[in-house]
Amino acid sequence: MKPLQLIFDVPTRWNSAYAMCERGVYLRKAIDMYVIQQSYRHLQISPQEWKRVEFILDVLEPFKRCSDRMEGTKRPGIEKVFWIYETLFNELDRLEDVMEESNGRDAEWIKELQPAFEVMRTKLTKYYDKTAIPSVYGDGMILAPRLKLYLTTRLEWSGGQMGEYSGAGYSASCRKRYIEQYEKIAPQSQPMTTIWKRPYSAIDDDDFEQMVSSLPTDATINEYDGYINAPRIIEKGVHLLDIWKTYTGAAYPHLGLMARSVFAVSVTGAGVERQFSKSGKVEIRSRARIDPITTTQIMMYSDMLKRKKRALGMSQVVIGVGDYETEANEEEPPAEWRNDWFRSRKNKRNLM
Amino acid sequence: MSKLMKFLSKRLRKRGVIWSAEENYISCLNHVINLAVQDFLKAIKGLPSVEDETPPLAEKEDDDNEDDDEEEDSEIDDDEDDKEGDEELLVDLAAVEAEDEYNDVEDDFAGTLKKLRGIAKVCDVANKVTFSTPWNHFCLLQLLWSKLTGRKPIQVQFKRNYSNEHVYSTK
Repeated sequence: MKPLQLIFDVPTRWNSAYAMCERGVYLRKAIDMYVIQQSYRHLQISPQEWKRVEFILDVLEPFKRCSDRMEGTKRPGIEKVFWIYETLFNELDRLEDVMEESNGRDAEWIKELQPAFEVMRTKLTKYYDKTAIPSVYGDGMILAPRLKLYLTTRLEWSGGQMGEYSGAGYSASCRKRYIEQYEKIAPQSQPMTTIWKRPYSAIDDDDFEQMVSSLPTDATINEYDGYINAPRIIEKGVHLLDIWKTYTGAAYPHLGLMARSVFAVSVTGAGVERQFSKSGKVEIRSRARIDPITTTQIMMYSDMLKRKKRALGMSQVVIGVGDYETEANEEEPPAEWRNDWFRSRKNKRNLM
Repeated sequence: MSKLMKFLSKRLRKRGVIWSAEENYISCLNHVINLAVQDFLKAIKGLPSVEDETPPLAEKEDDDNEDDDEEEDSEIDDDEDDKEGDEELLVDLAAVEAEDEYNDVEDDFAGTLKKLRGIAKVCDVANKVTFSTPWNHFCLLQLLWSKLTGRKPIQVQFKRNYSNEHVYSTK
């Protein structure tokens, strides 16, 4: 096992306060021991204060989880946005309940957090209100075959059951956009992947084929309506985009186009920013006139090298890859951290 | 609405593209979450102040596993006087420096976080102390103890005190 260091929180690093508290609580006994041994009286953290740290940890934990959830850039996240806001607001509600119900000695210090919760709620509300205008959020939710409109039927849905922000409202506007923008585009037909020994038409008899193609088409039924009324996909662990790949081949070629453009929207800038911090010092003072395209290429190339775990073969000095920032949590976390030791503990605690 | 989006929208309109700045403004959810968290921390004054001089996270020393510790130990044994003196001096300095700072720490969230930060600082600055599994940590502490006091490591009663319930309880 690797020895662990305590973590500092840095204002500019996301979730670093959480990281500090978590490691502090994790190493609590060790820290206490150390402080007593070194006789740093001024640094002694009383059990009461540890309780505070744990409470902060408890407050920050859902935020950290949501933040982690969205950080990945490999898969679309647009369909999760509403749900994440919902989760966070529910979390705030729960914390306020905890605060109100707390009594005795805990009540005093928990009450200190009242203004902090309010500030947090205001901030979240401010950005949540902004999600009302862009249509992508609603479309993303509807076009996720495992969600559709089912999220809006839940009780916690803040848009109400009627009006623009209800499920019906989102559905109507999504349908309108589909008809306006995507229905008329001719989808590219996808080639059949199966390779037959003999060509298809040769085996089957022509009369049957003729009869099938003479049948009336269902062109009157809108693809969107068909999609919305079809049963929700309940299979677990299927990638959203994989579902759409099969859909576009068969049932909803037009709607597939819409899904493609909706799920291309990234909800987070984290990936891009990470790329910048990973690629290190590309544009430095001594290379002030570097071309943007060259910058891109250097970044891409150094990223590729890092992925393949290779250095530039020219010399020991790797150009452009130089002293990039190391991540705080680069070391492999202990097994119980990966298994969410804190969460399993949380349930047992009577404070909550 | 951000300036960039407005500008972009205006530019595009000149080229004949209708592109609404409001409709297409997707704020980064991670940033939103972070802003909320920062606000929370600000409200409880839990953010590190500038004077705290937090060392950059990037400064990470190499993996120091037990082998390294042993090596270190043997080195110290070789030239005891110098190293021990240095180490002690460092620790004392850090402690003294810190003590003034923490005299007026209040009994609230900010104070607690500050203490936690202070401990991290002392651990980092003075000794590069690392904590780990019970056994490893126990060794480290013992090592440190013997280094600082010049006494032999205390064996039994320490272990009982030390037994890191917290670590055990997580399993």
